[in-house]
Amino acid sequence: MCIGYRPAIIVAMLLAVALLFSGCGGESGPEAGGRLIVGNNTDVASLDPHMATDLYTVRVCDQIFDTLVRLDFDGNYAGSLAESWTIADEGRVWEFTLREDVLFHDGEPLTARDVEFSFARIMDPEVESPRRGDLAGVEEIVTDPEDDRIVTVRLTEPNGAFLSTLLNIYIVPQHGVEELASEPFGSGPFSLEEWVPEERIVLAAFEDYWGDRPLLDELVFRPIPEVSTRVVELETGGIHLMDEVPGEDLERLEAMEEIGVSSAVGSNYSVLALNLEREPFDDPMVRSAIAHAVDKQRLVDVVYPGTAVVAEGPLPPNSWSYDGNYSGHPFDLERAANFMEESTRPDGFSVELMISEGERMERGAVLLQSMLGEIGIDVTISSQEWGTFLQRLIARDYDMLRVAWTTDPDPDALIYSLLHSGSEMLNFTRYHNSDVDSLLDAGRRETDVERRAEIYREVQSIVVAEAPMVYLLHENRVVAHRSSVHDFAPHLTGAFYFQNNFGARTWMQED
Amino acid sequence: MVTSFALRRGLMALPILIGVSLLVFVLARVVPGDPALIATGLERADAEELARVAERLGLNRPLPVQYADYLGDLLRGDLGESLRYRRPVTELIFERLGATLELAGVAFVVAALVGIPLGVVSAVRRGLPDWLAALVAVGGMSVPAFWLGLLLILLFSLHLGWFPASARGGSLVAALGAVFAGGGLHPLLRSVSHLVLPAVALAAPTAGLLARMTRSGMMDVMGEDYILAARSRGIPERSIVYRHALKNALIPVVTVAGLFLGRLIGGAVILETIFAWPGVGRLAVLAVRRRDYAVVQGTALLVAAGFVLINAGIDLLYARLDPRIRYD
Repeated sequence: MCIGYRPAIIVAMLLAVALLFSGCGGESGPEAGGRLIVGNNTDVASLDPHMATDLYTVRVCDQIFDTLVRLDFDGNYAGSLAESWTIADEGRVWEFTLREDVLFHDGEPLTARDVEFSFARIMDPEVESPRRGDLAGVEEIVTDPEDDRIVTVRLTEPNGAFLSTLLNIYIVPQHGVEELASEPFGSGPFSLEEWVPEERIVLAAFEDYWGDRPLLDELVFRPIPEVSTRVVELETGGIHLMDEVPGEDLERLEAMEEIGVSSAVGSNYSVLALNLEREPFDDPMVRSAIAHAVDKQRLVDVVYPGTAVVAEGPLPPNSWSYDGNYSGHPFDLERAANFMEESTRPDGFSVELMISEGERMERGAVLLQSMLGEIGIDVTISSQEWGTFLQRLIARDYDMLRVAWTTDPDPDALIYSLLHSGSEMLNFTRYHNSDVDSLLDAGRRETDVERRAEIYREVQSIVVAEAPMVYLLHENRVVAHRSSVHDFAPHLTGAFYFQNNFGARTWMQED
Repeated sequence: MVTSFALRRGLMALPILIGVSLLVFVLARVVPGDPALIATGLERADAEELARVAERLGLNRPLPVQYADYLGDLLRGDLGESLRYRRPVTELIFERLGATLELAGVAFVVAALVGIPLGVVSAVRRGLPDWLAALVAVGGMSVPAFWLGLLLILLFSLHLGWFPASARGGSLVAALGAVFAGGGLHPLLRSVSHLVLPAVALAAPTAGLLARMTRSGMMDVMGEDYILAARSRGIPERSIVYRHALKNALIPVVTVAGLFLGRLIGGAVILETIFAWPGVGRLAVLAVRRRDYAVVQGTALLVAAGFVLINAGIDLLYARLDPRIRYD
């Protein structure tokens, strides 16, 4: 009897092993198909990409529309609609060659005329695009009626950072401009299927996308404003992916088998800014004392465990201008105390620290309060709602404030407007140094990347030494997703890429 | 008689609505924060762009002029254009109004179905049942709706997995229509499963209040002579409580039912954000944060108009409930 059963057992075991392997095979390779649901913070304001400014709108537009160039995951420029480009006349003239095979979702080809039209539309005062200021330096766009692929942009001034501007300039179809506000179509990897305001935006893979067709069949954006609700939806499978995960949920989510967490250093920095128009911050000794008194590592460890890195200066580690050997002010209480003693306020002083509302900002402020207390600075924390905070910042109605600055990783975007004395509105510390001004101008004019990197490193060392603001940390872009989502990487700008020509090719397993 | 009363109430509503429009107009602008600055974001703030937006919204003109213009547009039924969406505010509101009315309406029914019986039990069965009912009622009244909402999500979505945590599962009215048209129960189940948690969270404070009011109304009425007379005629207690007493005990409750509906719409503003419910409240909350003045004013005015309308309607209903009330 027993012998009779043996072959059956062996067959069963072989079958089990075979099943196991076939299962593994399915899991290791990308699978086509599936529907990925993203939990977004708000509904889009409009799907007309020339009207978009907020991240939550832009990240949906990014799926439907394309730009001439994009930033790859390492922060380098990658051609998207533009196959290549050349710079002439010392950075005044930029000539782009478009890809040959680009179709809009309606099947019409994308040509140089659409690019010219998109620039003209943004620059048209009647359209009132919030992106109009970005193209203020454009003198004219030239296309050749005989050539569908060449677009030449002439600038009024040389601009080495012009590609950075183009990251936000979406190319829309000239023949589809009427539909932009309601049923837009572009040339991106996904096309719009359905938009139910405040409920969902459903996108479908575009079969004739110029790159590889997305592996996902469907992509859905669901606006869920309350972050705790978003987290529960992720845990229960109502959504597959979200970002801006609250610090207190991160550890729990990371420990869950069905959830994965991944992060990338963002192109941003968080500063403790000092109002140089107010005493005693006009005294460089006081500023140096503060810079040495702040223990950045402790701030990161306590408030941003695993979600930020210490900043030495304004240049984040993912910028080509970053210098790994550079270090700014080390935490040194003794030196801080010495600076205080030599300053105009040896006995300390009282000051208000303004922050915007938020759990991390508030916890960070308490830490800064105790750190500055060590050198006799008595800090009162004032937490403001975002709109009020912005208003007071621009009006320079503050002593000391903590703010995060987020742009694309070109150093011109990262630092020019905060430090140049000609920047009326955003130089809110009122920092003025003519050497820095001319370096920043030179950096903007220069088109050679190596030379630009040197210029910005020099700016960094001057500014860190003079300390109109203390560079605290660079925050990571943290994304939490269901384990069924594969090959998704957070992008340094906060964009969501599911399919592109520089490595994004997200796919889904059955959840 | 009734027509002229309705007309008078309508005329009375006008100054109220104008007052509300002025109040909201001023409040929106007293709060610091530049709409253009918030819209463009700090990193892209640019003096020229801010000036352009201020010009477009007319924010650089004197406040009284701005208000006069606003009032003029309002009388023509124009609530203005949203800064964020660049669409007429009326359009934005009407897209979302159905969802809000559905949530508030269902919550109202839930509150009545729970609150009134709870109040009756409380009044009739003294001792432990009364004590328990009071605990539930006062608890429901004192718990902030947003906190209860989050708690319900954690318990029933995350831990038990009974209901979805957020979003609307399609229109309830459409789902009911589908049932009658032979479309099956599936859409209805979907719609209801999404409605349960937000409706319960929204209904709880009102149910508590209703229970307390019904209880005191019942206790007053139960002491009246006609109840004693009914008892002496041997009418069963159950019939006395539900047919004779409750009807009269509910008159003061109906008086403030309009206020309850107002409370529900106010509560919906917060709960819609928590439950990602696609209604007017979410629009309003985001608009306040973004200083989208036209939307803030439009949504506030809408709620006020609804309030006034419901209360006028209830005044008209009185005569039916209580013949002693006349429209003089």
